[in-house]
Amino acid sequence: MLQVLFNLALLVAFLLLFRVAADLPSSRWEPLGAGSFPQLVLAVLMVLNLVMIAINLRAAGAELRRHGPNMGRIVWDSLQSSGLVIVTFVLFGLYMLSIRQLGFVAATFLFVLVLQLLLGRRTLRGVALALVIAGVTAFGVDYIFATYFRVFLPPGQLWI
Amino acid sequence: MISGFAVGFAEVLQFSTLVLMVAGVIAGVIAAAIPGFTITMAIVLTLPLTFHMAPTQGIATMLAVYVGGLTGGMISAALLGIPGTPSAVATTFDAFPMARKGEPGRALGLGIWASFFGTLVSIFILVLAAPPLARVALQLGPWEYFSLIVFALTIIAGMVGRSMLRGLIAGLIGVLLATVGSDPMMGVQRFSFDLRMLAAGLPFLAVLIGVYAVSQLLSEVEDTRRIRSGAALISGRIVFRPIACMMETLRQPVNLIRSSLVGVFIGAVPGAGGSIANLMAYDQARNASKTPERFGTGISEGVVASESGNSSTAGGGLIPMIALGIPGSAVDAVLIAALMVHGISVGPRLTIDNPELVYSIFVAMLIAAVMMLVICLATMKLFLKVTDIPKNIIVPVVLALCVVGVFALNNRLTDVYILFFIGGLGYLMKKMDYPLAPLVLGVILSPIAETNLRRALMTNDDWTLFLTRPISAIFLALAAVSVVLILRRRRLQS
Repeated sequence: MLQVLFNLALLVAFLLLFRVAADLPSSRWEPLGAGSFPQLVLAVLMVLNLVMIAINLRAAGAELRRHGPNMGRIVWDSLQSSGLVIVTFVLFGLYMLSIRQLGFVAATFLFVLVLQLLLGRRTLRGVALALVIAGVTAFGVDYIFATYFRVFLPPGQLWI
Repeated sequence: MISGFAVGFAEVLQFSTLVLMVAGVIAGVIAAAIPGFTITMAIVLTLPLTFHMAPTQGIATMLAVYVGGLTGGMISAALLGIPGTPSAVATTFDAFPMARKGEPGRALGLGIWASFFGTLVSIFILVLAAPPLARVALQLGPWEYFSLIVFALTIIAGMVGRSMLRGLIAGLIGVLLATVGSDPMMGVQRFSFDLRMLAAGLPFLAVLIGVYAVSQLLSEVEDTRRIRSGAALISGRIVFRPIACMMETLRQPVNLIRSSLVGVFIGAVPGAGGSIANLMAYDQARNASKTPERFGTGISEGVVASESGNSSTAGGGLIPMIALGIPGSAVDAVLIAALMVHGISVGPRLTIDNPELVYSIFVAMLIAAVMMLVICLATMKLFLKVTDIPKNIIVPVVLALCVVGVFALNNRLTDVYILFFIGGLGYLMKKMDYPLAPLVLGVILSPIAETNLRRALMTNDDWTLFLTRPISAIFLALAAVSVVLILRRRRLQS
């Protein structure tokens, strides 16, 4: 079922992108314009996705008949089992967004610390170790990149 | 030739040069082991340091970084399943499963020895065949390039895993991702939707790290119980037997030499390089194997093919550089720049005007390969300690390093946001059972394929030229043979 939904979502996306590619200007200087190559790729992708949907549709139908009323529960259970993955991914996104404001050092320190505590054991020793590792990662990487590689990581707009 | 080598050894075997080369090898290994930190970046950072050195010393130091880097990318590929550099993608296919089966020491040992022997083969060919091979590489026009890429694309069919359809979709998604941003011929914006972060396209390294590193690290936290119990990446006692690994590598002479030759040829083709060579060498090893179905499960043949394939591009890339003054890769372009800083012009006259420098390059490559071997074998136990670190520590730290690696590429935070989305896409595709390697290959090959197809048709809109130009026809024939062999193999397996 999920496979069919995934391929359907891809199909819709490819269709929309195909229309965007069709509107790209052609060139007087060459037989193929800017949109030709992506259009060719998207057309093949749409055909392959349709074949994929056709193959998986029967299995999805059988699954729906077998689990019909319990489908909501099955989806909820699978989301729950992926809870830690989702939380990690969301934290990763928040970390990236916070770099501009907080700067690399502060954002990395918080991200590494919070994620370690979330994933590991929250004993006194565990928290102390997490603090050390977060500090070494944040300050150490910033120092090494600035000193030896001349790469200056974002300082953070809040502190300027 | 012997007197040339004697001069080369005398130039390179100076104490200060050797010390700088040791530092270069170590720096290359460490830099390449960090996901996102490419060998090219390490070489570029080394370039200003060589300005005050003598030309031979400077080039020797840069070559040491290069040789070290080609091996270093294998470390994170084997231990974490994250290729440190694009040239280590195929190393993840077998070295990572081998490490996960409790043999990380064997995976690294095989990789180090294969890299060493691959580099030796490439130096041998570099010395003997630089001029004729360079002339062949120069014959490649846009028709030949496009046909070469078509041949390379057939690799996708070989790495699709269980479902050919899923592999093709993943490969074409990679091709599509590479079309975002400026059109390579006319500069027209494609699929950027007026967003500044997409205007420059999707940086290849952000895609590589997102697809491999972020999706792999997210997979590591799926098992809540294991991660909360403080489980390490690999459980059990870790054994490292360098001599046994050397013997195991040498027991595959055909695989080793074939993969190295693939690497040398791909390295000699300007613009191709290690990222394609390791995949092609791996694919050729699987096609030639009597048990291709075992590839991807953690077998030594896969590790040897990939690592000898990418390391031998070092010598291959130097062939057109020395013979014709054309860089085989971005790294070779930086080497040319370093020589020009010292007032040495690179081109066909280099071997006539500066023979001592050319022989010094050969000798420096050889010594750098030996240094890489000694340093890696001596320090590998230290790297293997990574596998003892609990997942709850390694996941956040490596995710942060991925962000640093992608940011350092262009000093752009928007590249980091791209990493986030590509990471999510990679994880989703992994969960839906789509192979990720074809996607990466698609991203690598797409711009080369499109540029050369359009360039060829701009020059002459006759499509039959792809079939009538001899080298182009050979590549297309090889592509057809490759597809037939793959289909036949799949039928036999089923």
